Amino acid sequence: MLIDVDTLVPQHIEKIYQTILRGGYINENSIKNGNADMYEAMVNKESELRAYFKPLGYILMKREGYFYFAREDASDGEAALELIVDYIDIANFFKTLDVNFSVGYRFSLTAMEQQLNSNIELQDLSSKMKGIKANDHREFIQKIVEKLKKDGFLEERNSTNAEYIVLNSYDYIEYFLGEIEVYE
Amino acid sequence: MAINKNISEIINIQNSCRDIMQELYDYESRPNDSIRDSYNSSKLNEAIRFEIIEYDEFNNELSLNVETLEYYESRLGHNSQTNIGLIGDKLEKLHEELGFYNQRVKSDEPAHKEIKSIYNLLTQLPSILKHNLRAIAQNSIFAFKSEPNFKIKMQKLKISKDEIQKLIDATYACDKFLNQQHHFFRTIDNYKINSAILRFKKESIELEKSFIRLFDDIKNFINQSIKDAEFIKKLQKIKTLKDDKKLLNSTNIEELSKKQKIISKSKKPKKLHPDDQILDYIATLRKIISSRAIELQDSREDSDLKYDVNEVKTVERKLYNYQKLNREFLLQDEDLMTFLVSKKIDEDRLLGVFIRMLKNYSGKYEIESDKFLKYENREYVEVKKCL
Repeated sequence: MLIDVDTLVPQHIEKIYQTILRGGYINENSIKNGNADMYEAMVNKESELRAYFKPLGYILMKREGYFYFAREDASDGEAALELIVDYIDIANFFKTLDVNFSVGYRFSLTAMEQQLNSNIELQDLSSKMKGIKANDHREFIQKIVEKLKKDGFLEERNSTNAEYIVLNSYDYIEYFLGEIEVYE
Repeated sequence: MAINKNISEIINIQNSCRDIMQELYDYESRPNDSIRDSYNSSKLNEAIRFEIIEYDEFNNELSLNVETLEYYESRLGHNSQTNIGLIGDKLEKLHEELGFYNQRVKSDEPAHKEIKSIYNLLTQLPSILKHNLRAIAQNSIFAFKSEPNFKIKMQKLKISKDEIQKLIDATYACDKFLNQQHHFFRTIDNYKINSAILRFKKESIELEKSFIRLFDDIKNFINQSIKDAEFIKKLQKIKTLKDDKKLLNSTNIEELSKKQKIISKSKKPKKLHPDDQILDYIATLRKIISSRAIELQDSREDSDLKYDVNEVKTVERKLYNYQKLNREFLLQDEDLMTFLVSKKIDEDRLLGVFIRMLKNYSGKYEIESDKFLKYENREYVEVKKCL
Protein backbone atom coordinates (compact mmCIF):
# COMPACT_ATOMS: atom_id res chain seq x y z
CA MET A 1 0.00 0.00 0.00
CA LEU A 2 1.31 3.43 -0.89
CA ILE A 3 1.10 6.22 1.65
CA ASP A 4 1.37 9.84 0.66
CA VAL A 5 2.65 11.30 3.92
CA ASP A 6 1.81 14.84 2.81
CA THR A 7 -1.88 14.03 2.57
CA LEU A 8 -2.07 11.92 5.71
CA VAL A 9 -4.41 14.21 7.70
CA PRO A 10 -1.47 16.56 8.51
CA GLN A 11 -3.76 19.03 10.33
CA HIS A 12 -4.83 16.29 12.75
CA ILE A 13 -1.67 14.24 13.18
CA GLU A 14 -0.53 16.12 16.31
CA LYS A 15 -3.91 15.56 17.98
CA ILE A 16 -3.82 11.91 17.01
CA TYR A 17 -0.43 11.57 18.74
CA GLN A 18 -1.83 13.31 21.81
CA THR A 19 -4.78 10.89 21.78
CA ILE A 20 -2.35 7.97 21.65
CA LEU A 21 -0.31 9.32 24.55
CA ARG A 22 -3.30 9.73 26.84
CA GLY A 23 -5.03 6.54 25.65
CA GLY A 24 -8.02 8.51 24.41
CA TYR A 25 -10.79 8.06 21.87
CA ILE A 26 -11.77 9.97 18.74
CA ASN A 27 -15.55 10.17 18.62
CA GLU A 28 -17.89 10.93 15.76
CA ASN A 29 -20.51 12.38 18.14
CA SER A 30 -18.10 14.71 19.92
CA ILE A 31 -18.40 18.32 18.88
CA LYS A 32 -15.47 19.64 20.91
CA ASN A 33 -11.87 20.26 19.81
CA GLY A 34 -12.64 19.42 16.19
CA ASN A 35 -13.11 15.75 17.09
CA ALA A 36 -15.90 15.16 14.56
CA ASP A 37 -13.72 16.61 11.76
CA MET A 38 -10.79 14.51 12.89
CA TYR A 39 -13.00 11.42 12.96
CA GLU A 40 -14.20 12.10 9.41
CA ALA A 41 -10.65 12.68 8.18
CA MET A 42 -9.57 9.43 9.84
CA VAL A 43 -12.42 7.49 8.24
CA ASN A 44 -11.24 8.69 4.84
CA LYS A 45 -7.62 7.67 5.55
CA GLU A 46 -8.31 4.72 7.81
CA SER A 47 -6.19 2.07 6.12
CA GLU A 48 -3.31 4.50 5.49
CA LEU A 49 -3.31 5.60 9.14
CA ARG A 50 -3.46 2.00 10.33
CA ALA A 51 -0.44 1.18 8.17
CA TYR A 52 1.36 4.37 9.25
CA PHE A 53 1.04 3.69 12.99
CA LYS A 54 1.70 -0.04 12.81
CA PRO A 55 5.51 0.27 12.53
CA LEU A 56 5.37 2.62 15.55
CA GLY A 57 3.79 -0.14 17.59
CA TYR A 58 0.21 1.15 17.70
CA ILE A 59 -2.85 -0.53 16.23
CA LEU A 60 -5.61 1.79 15.09
CA MET A 61 -8.93 0.32 16.22
CA LYS A 62 -12.30 1.34 14.82
CA ARG A 63 -15.67 0.54 16.27
CA GLU A 64 -19.12 1.99 15.64
CA GLY A 65 -18.53 5.77 15.58
CA TYR A 66 -15.12 5.98 17.29
CA PHE A 67 -11.43 5.27 16.96
CA TYR A 68 -8.86 4.37 19.59
CA PHE A 69 -5.36 2.96 19.67
CA ALA A 70 -4.07 -0.27 21.16
CA ARG A 71 -0.48 -1.31 21.78
CA GLU A 72 0.96 -3.83 19.40
CA ASP A 73 3.40 -5.32 21.87
CA ALA A 74 2.39 -7.75 24.59
CA SER A 75 0.60 -6.18 27.51
CA ASP A 76 -0.05 -7.51 30.98
CA GLY A 77 -3.64 -6.36 30.73
CA GLU A 78 -3.39 -4.63 34.11
CA ALA A 79 -4.58 -1.26 32.79
CA ALA A 80 -7.55 -2.79 30.96
CA LEU A 81 -8.50 -4.84 34.00
CA GLU A 82 -8.25 -1.80 36.27
CA LEU A 83 -10.45 0.24 33.89
CA ILE A 84 -13.15 -2.38 33.47
CA VAL A 85 -13.34 -3.28 37.16
CA ASP A 86 -13.89 0.43 37.93
CA TYR A 87 -16.64 0.58 35.34
CA ILE A 88 -18.61 -2.45 36.56
CA ASP A 89 -20.05 -0.33 39.38
CA ILE A 90 -20.43 2.77 37.25
CA ALA A 91 -22.19 1.00 34.36
CA ASN A 92 -24.46 -0.82 36.79
CA PHE A 93 -25.30 2.45 38.56
CA PHE A 94 -26.25 4.20 35.32
CA LYS A 95 -28.25 1.23 34.00
CA THR A 96 -30.17 1.14 37.29
CA LEU A 97 -30.77 4.85 36.96
CA ASP A 98 -32.07 4.45 33.41
CA VAL A 99 -31.99 1.28 31.28
CA ASN A 100 -31.53 3.52 28.26
CA PHE A 101 -28.20 4.87 29.50
CA SER A 102 -25.90 4.08 26.60
CA VAL A 103 -24.18 5.71 23.63
CA GLY A 104 -25.95 8.93 22.62
CA TYR A 105 -27.86 9.25 25.93
CA ARG A 106 -28.39 12.85 27.07
CA PHE A 107 -28.93 13.96 30.61
CA SER A 108 -28.55 16.85 33.02
CA LEU A 109 -26.86 16.74 36.41
CA THR A 110 -30.02 18.07 38.04
CA ALA A 111 -32.23 15.33 36.54
CA MET A 112 -29.77 12.67 37.70
CA GLU A 113 -29.56 14.17 41.16
CA GLN A 114 -33.37 14.16 41.41
CA GLN A 115 -33.48 10.50 40.44
CA LEU A 116 -30.80 9.66 42.99
CA ASN A 117 -32.72 11.60 45.66
CA SER A 118 -35.86 9.58 45.05
CA ASN A 119 -34.46 6.10 44.38
CA ILE A 120 -33.35 4.01 47.35
CA GLU A 121 -31.72 1.34 45.16
CA LEU A 122 -29.55 3.99 43.54
CA GLN A 123 -28.66 5.45 46.92
CA ASP A 124 -27.60 1.99 48.08
CA LEU A 125 -25.45 1.48 44.97
CA SER A 126 -23.85 4.90 45.34
CA SER A 127 -22.98 4.33 48.98
CA LYS A 128 -21.23 1.06 48.06
CA MET A 129 -19.03 2.68 45.44
CA LYS A 130 -15.92 3.02 47.56
CA GLY A 131 -13.89 4.85 44.94
CA ILE A 132 -16.18 7.87 44.92
CA LYS A 133 -16.31 9.82 48.16
CA ALA A 134 -19.00 12.47 48.26
CA ASN A 135 -20.81 14.46 50.93
CA ASP A 136 -24.15 14.56 49.14
CA HIS A 137 -25.96 13.22 46.08
CA ARG A 138 -25.10 16.23 43.94
CA GLU A 139 -21.39 15.83 44.66
CA PHE A 140 -21.60 12.09 43.97
CA ILE A 141 -23.19 12.67 40.55
CA GLN A 142 -20.66 15.41 39.79
CA LYS A 143 -17.73 13.14 40.64
CA ILE A 144 -18.98 10.16 38.68
CA VAL A 145 -19.73 12.38 35.67
CA GLU A 146 -16.30 13.98 35.98
CA LYS A 147 -14.67 10.53 35.87
CA LEU A 148 -16.53 9.55 32.70
CA LYS A 149 -15.66 12.89 31.17
CA LYS A 150 -11.98 12.50 32.06
CA ASP A 151 -11.91 8.96 30.67
CA GLY A 152 -13.35 10.20 27.36
CA PHE A 153 -16.85 8.72 27.58
CA LEU A 154 -18.89 11.88 28.20
CA GLU A 155 -18.99 15.38 26.85
CA GLU A 156 -20.65 18.49 28.22
CA ARG A 157 -23.13 19.94 25.76
CA ASN A 158 -24.55 22.82 27.75
CA SER A 159 -22.53 24.29 30.58
CA THR A 160 -25.38 26.54 31.76
CA ASN A 161 -27.69 23.62 32.47
CA ALA A 162 -24.88 21.09 33.02
CA GLU A 163 -26.17 18.85 30.21
CA TYR A 164 -24.11 15.94 28.94
CA ILE A 165 -24.08 13.39 26.15
CA VAL A 166 -22.64 9.86 26.30
CA LEU A 167 -20.01 9.57 23.58
CA ASN A 168 -19.71 6.66 21.16
CA SER A 169 -16.56 5.52 22.98
CA TYR A 170 -18.72 4.34 25.91
CA ASP A 171 -19.44 1.38 23.62
CA TYR A 172 -15.91 0.20 24.52
CA ILE A 173 -17.03 -0.34 28.12
CA GLU A 174 -20.34 -1.94 27.18
CA TYR A 175 -18.69 -4.17 24.58
CA PHE A 176 -16.02 -5.27 27.06
CA LEU A 177 -18.60 -5.99 29.78
CA GLY A 178 -20.75 -7.84 27.26
CA GLU A 179 -17.81 -10.07 26.33
CA ILE A 180 -17.22 -11.22 29.89
CA GLU A 181 -18.19 -14.84 30.40
CA VAL A 182 -19.35 -15.96 33.81
CA TYR A 183 -18.33 -19.53 34.58
CA GLU A 184 -21.23 -21.54 35.94
CA MET B 1 -79.71 21.65 28.70
CA ALA B 2 -78.78 21.18 25.04
CA ILE B 3 -77.56 24.36 23.38
CA ASN B 4 -77.81 25.39 19.77
CA LYS B 5 -74.38 25.56 18.17
CA ASN B 6 -73.28 26.84 14.80
CA ILE B 7 -69.88 26.78 13.17
CA SER B 8 -69.32 30.56 13.11
CA GLU B 9 -70.03 30.83 16.86
CA ILE B 10 -67.56 28.01 17.58
CA ILE B 11 -64.90 29.69 15.42
CA ASN B 12 -65.52 33.07 17.10
CA ILE B 13 -65.26 31.63 20.61
CA GLN B 14 -62.10 29.73 19.73
CA ASN B 15 -60.60 32.90 18.27
CA SER B 16 -61.42 34.98 21.31
CA CYS B 17 -59.96 32.33 23.64
CA ARG B 18 -56.93 31.39 21.55
CA ASP B 19 -54.35 32.54 24.14
CA ILE B 20 -55.93 30.43 26.89
CA MET B 21 -56.35 27.51 24.51
CA GLN B 22 -52.71 27.68 23.46
CA GLU B 23 -51.61 27.74 27.07
CA LEU B 24 -53.91 24.84 27.94
CA TYR B 25 -52.65 22.90 24.92
CA ASP B 26 -49.06 23.39 26.05
CA TYR B 27 -50.15 22.46 29.55
CA GLU B 28 -51.51 19.17 28.21
CA SER B 29 -48.01 18.48 26.88
CA ARG B 30 -46.51 19.32 30.27
CA PRO B 31 -48.81 17.61 32.75
CA ASN B 32 -46.50 18.29 35.70
CA ASP B 33 -47.04 22.02 35.56
CA SER B 34 -49.81 23.54 37.63
CA ILE B 35 -52.48 25.51 35.84
CA ARG B 36 -53.32 29.04 36.85
CA ASP B 37 -56.83 29.74 37.91
CA SER B 38 -56.72 33.43 37.11
CA TYR B 39 -58.69 33.28 33.87
CA ASN B 40 -62.13 34.75 34.06
CA SER B 41 -63.96 36.34 31.23
CA SER B 42 -67.30 36.07 29.47
CA LYS B 43 -65.56 34.51 26.46
CA LEU B 44 -64.05 31.83 28.66
CA ASN B 45 -67.49 31.10 30.11
CA GLU B 46 -68.81 30.75 26.57
CA ALA B 47 -65.98 28.36 25.69
CA ILE B 48 -66.89 26.27 28.72
CA ARG B 49 -70.58 26.38 27.78
CA PHE B 50 -69.72 25.24 24.22
CA GLU B 51 -67.57 22.39 25.67
CA ILE B 52 -64.43 23.68 23.96
CA ILE B 53 -62.79 24.13 27.36
CA GLU B 54 -63.63 22.18 30.48
CA TYR B 55 -63.73 23.52 34.00
CA ASP B 56 -63.26 21.31 37.03
CA GLU B 57 -65.04 23.11 39.87
CA PHE B 58 -63.73 20.75 42.50
CA ASN B 59 -60.03 21.42 41.70
CA ASN B 60 -60.65 24.86 40.22
CA GLU B 61 -58.78 23.80 37.07
CA LEU B 62 -59.21 24.49 33.38
CA SER B 63 -58.38 22.05 30.60
CA LEU B 64 -59.06 21.55 26.94
CA ASN B 65 -62.04 19.38 26.13
CA VAL B 66 -60.88 15.91 25.01
CA GLU B 67 -62.32 16.30 21.51
CA THR B 68 -60.84 19.79 21.12
CA LEU B 69 -57.48 18.45 22.23
CA GLU B 70 -57.72 15.47 19.87
CA TYR B 71 -58.60 17.79 16.99
CA TYR B 72 -55.56 20.01 17.52
CA GLU B 73 -53.25 17.08 18.20
CA SER B 74 -54.35 15.45 14.95
CA ARG B 75 -53.89 18.73 13.04
CA LEU B 76 -50.43 19.15 14.54
CA GLY B 77 -49.48 15.49 14.13
CA HIS B 78 -49.13 15.10 17.94
CA ASN B 79 -51.89 12.60 18.43
CA SER B 80 -50.35 9.32 19.43
CA GLN B 81 -53.62 7.44 19.96
CA THR B 82 -54.25 4.77 17.38
CA ASN B 83 -57.69 4.10 15.90
CA ILE B 84 -57.13 1.21 13.50
CA GLY B 85 -60.67 -0.09 14.11
CA LEU B 86 -61.96 3.07 12.48
CA ILE B 87 -60.68 1.81 9.09
CA GLY B 88 -63.01 -1.20 9.26
CA ASP B 89 -65.87 1.08 10.32
CA LYS B 90 -65.21 3.43 7.42
CA LEU B 91 -65.09 0.53 4.95
CA GLU B 92 -68.39 -0.73 6.29
CA LYS B 93 -69.86 2.73 5.97
CA LEU B 94 -68.49 2.96 2.43
CA HIS B 95 -70.12 -0.35 1.60
CA GLU B 96 -73.45 0.96 2.92
CA GLU B 97 -73.18 4.21 0.96
CA LEU B 98 -72.47 2.28 -2.23
CA GLY B 99 -75.62 0.27 -1.53
CA PHE B 100 -77.67 3.48 -1.03
CA TYR B 101 -76.21 4.90 -4.22
CA ASN B 102 -77.21 1.73 -6.06
CA GLN B 103 -80.78 1.96 -4.77
CA ARG B 104 -81.01 5.66 -5.71
CA VAL B 105 -79.83 4.97 -9.26
CA LYS B 106 -82.24 2.06 -9.63
CA SER B 107 -85.07 4.30 -8.43
CA ASP B 108 -83.97 7.07 -10.82
CA GLU B 109 -83.41 9.41 -7.88
CA PRO B 110 -80.59 11.94 -7.59
CA ALA B 111 -77.61 10.45 -5.68
CA HIS B 112 -75.51 13.61 -5.01
CA LYS B 113 -75.57 13.10 -1.24
CA GLU B 114 -74.32 9.49 -1.52
CA ILE B 115 -71.59 10.51 -4.00
CA LYS B 116 -70.43 13.16 -1.57
CA SER B 117 -70.38 10.65 1.30
CA ILE B 118 -68.50 8.09 -0.84
CA TYR B 119 -65.98 10.76 -1.84
CA ASN B 120 -65.51 11.85 1.80
CA LEU B 121 -64.99 8.28 2.98
CA LEU B 122 -62.48 7.58 0.21
CA THR B 123 -60.44 10.65 1.16
CA GLN B 124 -60.66 9.90 4.90
CA LEU B 125 -59.21 6.39 4.63
CA PRO B 126 -55.63 7.33 3.57
CA SER B 127 -55.41 10.02 6.27
CA ILE B 128 -56.55 7.52 8.92
CA LEU B 129 -53.90 5.06 7.71
CA LYS B 130 -51.24 7.81 7.84
CA HIS B 131 -52.35 8.99 11.27
CA ASN B 132 -52.08 5.44 12.63
CA LEU B 133 -48.68 4.91 11.05
CA ARG B 134 -47.43 8.13 12.67
CA ALA B 135 -48.99 7.26 16.04
CA ILE B 136 -47.53 3.72 16.10
CA ALA B 137 -44.11 5.08 15.09
CA GLN B 138 -44.22 7.73 17.85
CA ASN B 139 -45.38 5.25 20.49
CA SER B 140 -42.80 2.60 19.62
CA ILE B 141 -39.90 5.06 19.46
CA PHE B 142 -40.95 6.61 22.76
CA ALA B 143 -41.25 3.19 24.39
CA PHE B 144 -37.86 2.08 23.07
CA LYS B 145 -35.93 5.23 23.87
CA SER B 146 -37.60 6.64 26.95
CA GLU B 147 -39.49 3.95 28.85
CA PRO B 148 -37.36 3.15 31.89
CA ASN B 149 -39.38 0.10 33.02
CA PHE B 150 -38.39 -2.97 31.02
CA LYS B 151 -41.68 -4.84 31.41
CA ILE B 152 -43.77 -1.84 30.39
CA LYS B 153 -41.38 -1.14 27.52
CA MET B 154 -41.76 -4.69 26.18
CA GLN B 155 -45.54 -4.58 26.57
CA LYS B 156 -45.73 -1.29 24.68
CA LEU B 157 -43.46 -2.53 21.91
CA LYS B 158 -45.53 -5.70 21.63
CA ILE B 159 -48.70 -3.58 21.32
CA SER B 160 -47.04 -1.47 18.60
CA LYS B 161 -45.97 -4.63 16.75
CA ASP B 162 -49.52 -6.01 16.87
CA GLU B 163 -50.92 -2.65 15.80
CA ILE B 164 -48.66 -2.32 12.78
CA GLN B 165 -49.63 -5.85 11.79
CA LYS B 166 -53.31 -4.88 12.11
CA LEU B 167 -52.66 -1.73 10.12
CA ILE B 168 -51.04 -3.74 7.31
CA ASP B 169 -54.06 -6.07 7.32
CA ALA B 170 -56.40 -3.06 7.27
CA THR B 171 -54.57 -1.64 4.23
CA TYR B 172 -54.92 -4.98 2.44
CA ALA B 173 -58.62 -4.94 3.35
CA CYS B 174 -58.94 -1.46 1.79
CA ASP B 175 -57.13 -2.57 -1.38
CA LYS B 176 -59.28 -5.69 -1.56
CA PHE B 177 -62.46 -3.63 -1.15
CA LEU B 178 -61.45 -1.21 -3.90
CA ASN B 179 -60.64 -4.10 -6.24
CA GLN B 180 -63.92 -5.86 -5.48
CA GLN B 181 -65.86 -2.66 -6.18
CA HIS B 182 -63.77 -1.79 -9.23
CA HIS B 183 -66.63 -2.29 -11.71
CA PHE B 184 -69.07 -0.47 -9.48
CA PHE B 185 -66.81 2.60 -9.26
CA ARG B 186 -66.41 2.51 -13.02
CA THR B 187 -70.19 2.64 -13.40
CA ILE B 188 -70.42 5.63 -11.07
CA ASP B 189 -67.87 7.33 -13.34
CA ASN B 190 -67.57 10.43 -11.19
CA TYR B 191 -64.32 12.32 -11.73
CA LYS B 192 -64.00 13.29 -8.03
CA ILE B 193 -64.45 9.69 -6.90
CA ASN B 194 -62.11 8.44 -9.63
CA SER B 195 -59.40 10.90 -8.56
CA ALA B 196 -59.89 9.95 -4.86
CA ILE B 197 -59.47 6.25 -5.75
CA LEU B 198 -56.35 6.95 -7.81
CA ARG B 199 -54.87 9.03 -4.97
CA PHE B 200 -55.74 6.31 -2.46
CA LYS B 201 -54.09 3.60 -4.57
CA LYS B 202 -50.95 5.71 -5.04
CA GLU B 203 -50.70 6.51 -1.33
CA SER B 204 -51.45 2.90 -0.44
CA ILE B 205 -48.36 1.72 -2.36
CA GLU B 206 -46.16 4.32 -0.63
CA LEU B 207 -47.65 3.55 2.78
CA GLU B 208 -47.07 -0.17 2.38
CA LYS B 209 -43.31 0.41 2.23
CA SER B 210 -43.50 2.59 5.36
CA PHE B 211 -45.55 -0.03 7.20
CA ILE B 212 -43.04 -2.77 6.43
CA ARG B 213 -40.14 -0.49 7.45
CA LEU B 214 -41.84 0.39 10.73
CA PHE B 215 -42.63 -3.29 11.35
CA ASP B 216 -38.92 -4.10 10.92
CA ASP B 217 -37.95 -1.17 13.16
CA ILE B 218 -40.27 -2.38 15.93
CA LYS B 219 -38.85 -5.90 15.65
CA ASN B 220 -35.36 -4.40 15.98
CA PHE B 221 -36.49 -2.34 19.00
CA ILE B 222 -37.79 -5.53 20.64
CA ASN B 223 -34.61 -7.48 19.89
CA GLN B 224 -32.42 -4.62 21.07
CA SER B 225 -34.46 -4.27 24.26
CA ILE B 226 -34.10 -7.98 24.97
CA LYS B 227 -30.37 -7.69 24.35
CA ASP B 228 -30.22 -4.70 26.71
CA ALA B 229 -32.09 -6.63 29.38
CA GLU B 230 -29.71 -9.58 29.05
CA PHE B 231 -26.80 -7.15 29.33
CA ILE B 232 -28.22 -5.64 32.53
CA LYS B 233 -28.77 -9.10 33.99
CA LYS B 234 -25.17 -10.04 33.20
CA LEU B 235 -23.90 -6.73 34.56
CA GLN B 236 -25.69 -7.31 37.85
CA LYS B 237 -24.19 -10.80 38.06
CA ILE B 238 -20.70 -9.45 37.40
CA LYS B 239 -21.26 -6.74 40.02
CA THR B 240 -22.27 -9.37 42.60
CA LEU B 241 -19.16 -11.41 41.79
CA LYS B 242 -17.05 -8.28 42.17
CA ASP B 243 -18.63 -7.44 45.53
CA ASP B 244 -18.02 -11.05 46.66
CA LYS B 245 -14.41 -10.83 45.45
CA LYS B 246 -14.97 -13.75 43.07
CA LEU B 247 -14.66 -11.81 39.85
CA LEU B 248 -11.22 -13.04 38.75
CA ASN B 249 -11.90 -16.70 39.49
CA SER B 250 -15.43 -16.85 38.17
CA THR B 251 -15.04 -14.99 34.88
CA ASN B 252 -12.68 -14.67 31.92
CA ILE B 253 -12.13 -10.97 32.72
CA GLU B 254 -8.35 -11.36 33.17
CA GLU B 255 -7.94 -13.17 29.87
CA LEU B 256 -10.05 -10.54 28.10
CA SER B 257 -8.06 -7.70 29.66
CA LYS B 258 -4.82 -9.15 28.33
CA LYS B 259 -6.25 -9.16 24.83
CA GLN B 260 -7.21 -5.48 25.02
CA LYS B 261 -3.65 -4.09 24.97
CA ILE B 262 -5.01 -0.65 25.75
CA ILE B 263 -2.77 2.31 26.34
CA SER B 264 -2.79 2.98 30.05
CA LYS B 265 -4.27 6.30 31.10
CA SER B 266 -2.95 6.10 34.60
CA LYS B 267 0.70 5.54 33.76
CA LYS B 268 2.56 8.62 32.60
CA PRO B 269 4.66 8.23 29.46
CA LYS B 270 8.33 7.63 30.06
CA LYS B 271 10.32 10.81 30.22
CA LEU B 272 13.28 11.17 27.93
CA HIS B 273 15.06 13.15 30.61
CA PRO B 274 14.06 13.94 34.21
CA ASP B 275 13.19 17.49 33.20
CA ASP B 276 11.30 16.54 30.09
CA GLN B 277 7.61 17.32 29.98
CA ILE B 278 5.00 15.50 27.95
CA LEU B 279 5.07 18.29 25.40
CA ASP B 280 8.77 17.73 24.84
CA TYR B 281 7.93 14.18 23.98
CA ILE B 282 5.45 15.41 21.40
CA ALA B 283 8.02 17.87 20.11
CA THR B 284 10.46 15.00 19.64
CA LEU B 285 7.88 13.00 17.75
CA ARG B 286 7.10 16.04 15.67
CA LYS B 287 10.82 16.39 14.84
CA ILE B 288 10.97 12.76 13.79
CA ILE B 289 7.98 13.20 11.55
CA SER B 290 9.24 16.43 10.02
CA SER B 291 12.70 15.03 9.37
CA ARG B 292 11.06 12.08 7.72
CA ALA B 293 9.08 14.45 5.55
CA ILE B 294 12.29 16.32 4.63
CA GLU B 295 13.97 13.06 3.75
CA LEU B 296 11.11 12.23 1.47
CA GLN B 297 11.11 15.69 -0.03
CA ASP B 298 14.85 15.38 -0.74
CA SER B 299 14.21 12.28 -2.73
CA ARG B 300 11.39 13.94 -4.63
CA GLU B 301 13.43 14.01 -7.86
CA ASP B 302 14.11 10.32 -7.77
CA SER B 303 10.84 9.00 -6.48
CA ASP B 304 7.17 9.90 -6.56
CA LEU B 305 7.31 11.00 -2.89
CA LYS B 306 5.44 7.96 -1.76
CA TYR B 307 6.67 5.09 0.23
CA ASP B 308 5.28 1.67 0.32
CA VAL B 309 4.12 0.62 3.75
CA ASN B 310 4.29 -3.03 2.81
CA GLU B 311 7.90 -2.29 2.08
CA VAL B 312 8.36 -1.63 5.79
CA LYS B 313 8.12 -5.35 6.29
CA THR B 314 10.79 -6.07 3.68
CA VAL B 315 13.02 -3.29 4.98
CA GLU B 316 12.91 -4.81 8.44
CA ARG B 317 16.49 -5.85 9.07
CA LYS B 318 17.22 -9.54 9.20
CA LEU B 319 19.17 -10.39 12.30
CA TYR B 320 22.16 -12.65 11.76
CA ASN B 321 23.52 -14.92 14.43
CA TYR B 322 27.21 -13.94 14.24
CA GLN B 323 28.31 -16.51 16.83
CA LYS B 324 26.75 -19.30 14.82
CA LEU B 325 28.22 -17.96 11.58
CA ASN B 326 31.65 -17.79 13.21
CA ARG B 327 31.36 -21.39 14.47
CA GLU B 328 30.43 -22.63 11.03
CA PHE B 329 33.17 -20.57 9.37
CA LEU B 330 35.79 -22.09 11.64
CA LEU B 331 34.63 -25.59 10.65
CA GLN B 332 35.38 -25.09 6.94
CA ASP B 333 38.28 -23.91 4.79
CA GLU B 334 36.86 -21.26 2.44
CA ASP B 335 37.68 -17.56 2.84
CA LEU B 336 35.21 -15.39 4.73
CA MET B 337 33.67 -13.67 1.70
CA THR B 338 33.10 -16.95 -0.18
CA PHE B 339 31.72 -18.48 3.01
CA LEU B 340 29.23 -15.63 3.53
CA VAL B 341 28.10 -15.78 -0.11
CA SER B 342 27.54 -19.52 0.31
CA LYS B 343 25.41 -18.73 3.38
CA LYS B 344 23.16 -16.62 1.16
CA ILE B 345 23.70 -13.41 3.12
CA ASP B 346 21.63 -10.55 1.57
CA GLU B 347 23.75 -8.85 -1.08
CA ASP B 348 23.16 -5.40 0.36
CA ARG B 349 24.13 -6.65 3.81
CA LEU B 350 27.17 -8.67 2.70
CA LEU B 351 29.75 -5.93 3.33
CA GLY B 352 28.24 -5.11 6.74
CA VAL B 353 28.20 -8.73 7.87
CA PHE B 354 31.75 -9.21 6.54
CA ILE B 355 33.01 -6.22 8.58
CA ARG B 356 31.08 -7.25 11.70
CA MET B 357 32.56 -10.80 11.55
CA LEU B 358 36.01 -9.41 11.08
CA LYS B 359 35.55 -6.93 13.93
CA ASN B 360 34.09 -9.51 16.33
CA TYR B 361 36.40 -12.40 15.70
CA SER B 362 39.59 -10.87 14.22
CA GLY B 363 41.65 -12.76 16.83
CA LYS B 364 40.58 -16.05 15.30
CA TYR B 365 41.07 -15.01 11.68
CA GLU B 366 44.09 -14.61 9.44
CA ILE B 367 44.01 -11.60 7.13
CA GLU B 368 45.93 -11.77 3.81
CA SER B 369 46.27 -7.99 3.35
CA ASP B 370 47.73 -8.25 -0.13
CA LYS B 371 45.11 -10.64 -1.50
CA PHE B 372 41.67 -9.46 -2.60
CA LEU B 373 38.62 -11.27 -3.92
CA LYS B 374 36.12 -9.49 -6.13
CA TYR B 375 32.37 -9.90 -5.70
CA GLU B 376 29.60 -7.72 -7.14
CA ASN B 377 31.95 -4.82 -7.98
CA ARG B 378 33.52 -4.86 -4.53
CA GLU B 379 36.88 -6.17 -3.46
CA TYR B 380 37.08 -8.07 -0.20
CA VAL B 381 40.35 -8.77 1.55
CA GLU B 382 41.00 -12.48 1.87
CA VAL B 383 40.21 -13.68 5.42
CA LYS B 384 40.73 -17.24 6.54
CA LYS B 385 40.51 -19.06 9.83
CA CYS B 386 43.72 -19.34 11.82
CA LEU B 387 45.40 -22.63 11.28
